[in-house]
Amino acid sequence: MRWIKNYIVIISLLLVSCEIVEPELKNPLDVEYNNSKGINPPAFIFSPDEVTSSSGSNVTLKVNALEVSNVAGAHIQIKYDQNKLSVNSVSQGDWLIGGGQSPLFFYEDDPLLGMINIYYSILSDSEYLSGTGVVAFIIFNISAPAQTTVQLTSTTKIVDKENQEIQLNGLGKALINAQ
Amino acid sequence: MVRFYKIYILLFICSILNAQDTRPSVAILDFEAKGIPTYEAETLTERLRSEIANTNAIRLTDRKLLEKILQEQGLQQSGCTTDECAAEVGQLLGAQFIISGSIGKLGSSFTVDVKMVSVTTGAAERAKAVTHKGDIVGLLIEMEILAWEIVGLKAPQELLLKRGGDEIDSEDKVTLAVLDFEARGISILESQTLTDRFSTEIGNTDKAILVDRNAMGEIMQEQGYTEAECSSEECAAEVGAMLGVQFMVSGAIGKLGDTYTIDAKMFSVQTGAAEKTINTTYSGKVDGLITEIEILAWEIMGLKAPKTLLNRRSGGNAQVLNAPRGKSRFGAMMRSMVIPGWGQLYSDRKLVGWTILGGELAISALAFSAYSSYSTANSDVVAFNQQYNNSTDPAQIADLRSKTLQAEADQISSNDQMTTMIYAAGGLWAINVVHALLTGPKVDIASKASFFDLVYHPEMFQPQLRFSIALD
Repeated sequence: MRWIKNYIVIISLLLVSCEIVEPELKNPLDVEYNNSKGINPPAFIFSPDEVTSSSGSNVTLKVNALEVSNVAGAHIQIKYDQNKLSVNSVSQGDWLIGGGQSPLFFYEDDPLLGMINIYYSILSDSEYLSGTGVVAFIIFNISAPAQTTVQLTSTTKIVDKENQEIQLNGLGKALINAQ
Repeated sequence: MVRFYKIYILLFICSILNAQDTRPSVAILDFEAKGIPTYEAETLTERLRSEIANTNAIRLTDRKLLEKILQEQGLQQSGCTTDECAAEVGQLLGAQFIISGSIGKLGSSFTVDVKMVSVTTGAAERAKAVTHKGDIVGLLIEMEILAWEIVGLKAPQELLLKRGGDEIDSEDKVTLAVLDFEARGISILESQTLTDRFSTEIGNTDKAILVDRNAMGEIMQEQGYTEAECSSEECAAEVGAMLGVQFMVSGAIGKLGDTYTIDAKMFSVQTGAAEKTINTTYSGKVDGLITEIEILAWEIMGLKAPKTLLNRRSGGNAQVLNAPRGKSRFGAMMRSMVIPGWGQLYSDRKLVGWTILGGELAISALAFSAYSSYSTANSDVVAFNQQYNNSTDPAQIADLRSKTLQAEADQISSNDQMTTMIYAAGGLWAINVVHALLTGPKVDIASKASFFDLVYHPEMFQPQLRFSIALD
């Protein structure tokens, strides 16, 4: 009767062995993914939008412009929990200098308020920024094991060459899990 | 003068010898031609004359003398068609019997009517008629056979076989003769009876033209053999060659305790090589051997025995030792569990068995095909998803998202298809197991049979009400 058992096991395996792999389509630069979160272009987002790390270590967040067009300047304001995070460094992203430009880029970090303000401006008359790309790299240091959010505030705005504000349809946030 | 005496003495001796010949004298008139040319009728009559001489049963009157007398009477041979005319001519010839006849043509058939008339009484002593379909040349054999039959003798086997020759070719029949099976532990009478039954059954196969046992006996007698003596292949081949057959069958029936063995061999007369050797072992009453030897007759001809015979074998009390036995429904079910359809094949339900096996294989092939598609789609999902996650190009991300979702859809579809096929295979497997169990071979237990049943007795050709008591 042992072979009957084996037979049943084989048949059972055939019936249950084919599992369906469900893809994780959560690329922060994916427009459809952002749509599902209520962020529609043009927008500013973080990439990655979720990070898990340990207390005391550094995490890098990229600030991305998503499907913007003819941007001549921007003011990006980021709020973070100063009790859990501290800013190590802020640097300009590849996208700003990708076209061989040298935009005006500077930032202010207020560790007491937990606020970063990033400014940049295109000096050239012709090469304005369009599309999707990394505007800035921010390295945070995790000071306490906890879950915290880094958020782009509504103060964030972009302007065209006429200094007219371009409406942003979404501002992303990033979740940092510190263990 | 001396010479005259010598001739006189010679004629005297001849007349004495002639007087000692008691065979009846017969004159043969040319057959009347009806629908065929006269010369053809004459040719055929001539063939009858030459063959009738071979019978040694009569004294044939000289043809020239016959023609002379008919000429004197102002008659043509073929004109003397009435019995009275024949009797008159016979009297003139001093013959005791006159043979006359006619050969006619009807469509593609030829008819030959022949009669032997007594000159003394004018009455027809014997009459024969034959119809031949085919070429007129075939009438030559018919005339030769008629030559024997009109004088009251049976035509030699060779002639009869020649007559059947055309049929043999057209119907793929073989000519064969069966020697009495050697008796080993049973009586010669039993062996002969069984051989007779074997021969009869070979005739029933309709695949062989069998030489009459008596004809074979005569030939063997001529050669100075008895059937019992002619047990070697050489002797059998020699007899077969004389009989003009293609094959000879010899064999032996032996007894070992309550078990009987039958060995039969058919070999080619021309080559001497054994064409087929067959044997069976049987345990039971000697009566049951009849069925066994009848089945053997079919098998030696390379045919499957009729169901009636096989049923008679299985319905009997005797047990055939080399026949498959011990078949049961449980056995069929277990086999079907291992390989779908095997149980049905085991139960001699070949069509159902192969259908189930084929169906199961087809479903399995479809399931495998679906699995292959699933496997490919599964790999694609993983690969595209990884590329999607690593990509920073929005256009590429959109493209990879689309590809990933398509691969996922394919994966789900293939998986569904595969699941359906597996369930179908499982369902068919379950049906096959149940079918094998329900339709499997029954174990013949006498105690489960009814006490009274109405059966047809194949040998008495009548229905019988049978009462049985189970002893198991």
